[in-house]
Amino acid sequence: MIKFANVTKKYGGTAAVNRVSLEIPEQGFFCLLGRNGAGKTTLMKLIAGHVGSTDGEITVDGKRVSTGRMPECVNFIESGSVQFNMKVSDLIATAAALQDDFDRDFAQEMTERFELNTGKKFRQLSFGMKTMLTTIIALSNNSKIILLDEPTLGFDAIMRDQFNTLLLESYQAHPRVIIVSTHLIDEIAKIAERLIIIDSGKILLETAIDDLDEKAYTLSGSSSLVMPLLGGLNCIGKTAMGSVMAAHIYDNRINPPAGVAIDRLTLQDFFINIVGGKRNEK
Amino acid sequence: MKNKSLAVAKTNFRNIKIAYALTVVIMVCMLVQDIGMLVIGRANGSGYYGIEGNMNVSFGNYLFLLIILSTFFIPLVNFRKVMNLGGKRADFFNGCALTYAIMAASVSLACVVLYLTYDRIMVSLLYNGGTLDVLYWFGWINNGAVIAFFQMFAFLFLLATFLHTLIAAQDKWYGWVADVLILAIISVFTPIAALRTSLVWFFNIIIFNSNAFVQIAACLILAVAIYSLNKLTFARKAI
Repeated sequence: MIKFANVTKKYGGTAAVNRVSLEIPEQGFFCLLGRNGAGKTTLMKLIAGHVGSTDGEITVDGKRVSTGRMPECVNFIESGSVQFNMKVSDLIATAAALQDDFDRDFAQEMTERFELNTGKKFRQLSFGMKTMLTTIIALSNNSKIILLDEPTLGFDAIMRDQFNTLLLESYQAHPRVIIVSTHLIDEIAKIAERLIIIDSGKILLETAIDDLDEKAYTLSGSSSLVMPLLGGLNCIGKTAMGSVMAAHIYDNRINPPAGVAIDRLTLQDFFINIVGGKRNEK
Repeated sequence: MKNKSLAVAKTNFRNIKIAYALTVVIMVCMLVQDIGMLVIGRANGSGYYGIEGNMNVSFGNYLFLLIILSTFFIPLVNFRKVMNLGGKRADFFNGCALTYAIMAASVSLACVVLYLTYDRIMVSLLYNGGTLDVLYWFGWINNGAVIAFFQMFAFLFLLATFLHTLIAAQDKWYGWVADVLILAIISVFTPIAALRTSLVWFFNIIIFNSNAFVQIAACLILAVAIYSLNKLTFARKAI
């Protein structure tokens, strides 16, 4: 469905996406994680054809993507994207007129559920409500691929919870590729199926979230007991306090010896360690 | 099947409020000036209220401002917002052409009507030196109001597409090269008699052509040729 073949995107001399090869063969709910400036937005814009690659080839449904050939089946929405200063109802009507597969009933239902005042103009909405409206417009499109960049920015905890429910319902109603970039890792982990981690423009990991429950764990105990176990394991980070240490592992589970505890690593801790683990150890 | 080009055109018309506002302000100012002159002017025996030999720009010609300003807002502001609503570049390309065609037709119609009504009244009351109207100065009205409308439409459509194309390309190197070339042509061709002839020939074709149909055809062909360059510009424009 989506294929990156050795794709590089440079802004000036800086590579925002650096020789990325990635394949998303079928529908799924993906969570795209990365630090600020890691290349998440650029990766999404490349899929949508909003920016062109400097090198390599991107294909969506077998068709090459470029700024001149934006794939019809992709809908990309940025959280802070500028919109016409029209009434909410008019913006939805305009989006419906501009798109082939726009589900107006879904948009209507969502504006009611999130208590969006359809008579208000876009600039009169709070930042969170602007983001909500933009996201509702994106999800109302029955495109095969939906890309949401930081969709929960500016949301309070209740809105985020409602939003995650909305995403899940939208996905269940129209199974497709949904890629959500966010910093609220553990919240999105509850609903996403797969995880993509990007750092410094490179894909560090693409895996099923269920797989992480099995493979991401922490071994803690006396350093003298933990250290010998790390030889054959992929240790993504370590923290030490005196003679006690915790080693964060991304590998097959082991049966630890007595004196060494094994605990599940949360997605947030896993992310922090896999992206910043080596830096944290210094 | 939805007409997405029409949706883009409608969206453009709804979102050029500054262009409307500035045009209306200028036109209201001119209207107030005319009314003020009528109020304070004293009719002489012939019923004339103005100063002998008074001239003014035709009221309708101020509507050109709407087209000129729109060519700034549409490519620079509306493009990204249309894309953010899920619009496609091809629809924006077609929709903008439709926008300019409708706008050029509306402005031309208003100009012809105002020339034949408001301007004539004002000439008899205030500006017996006549009005500065492109319909008159370019000789189009000599072909009759209907032909003049089409001549003005073709010219304004060319003007709109040219400005849209030039402004849209300003974030690209070739946009700047085009600016320099246009300035160079004007500054170099004008003072040199031999080169000036080619400039005169060009303007004779698109404006002062004695054959209205050739003028209309030349403007429309040139407009389509220039506007098609936008496919290249917008295809490469990042959002």
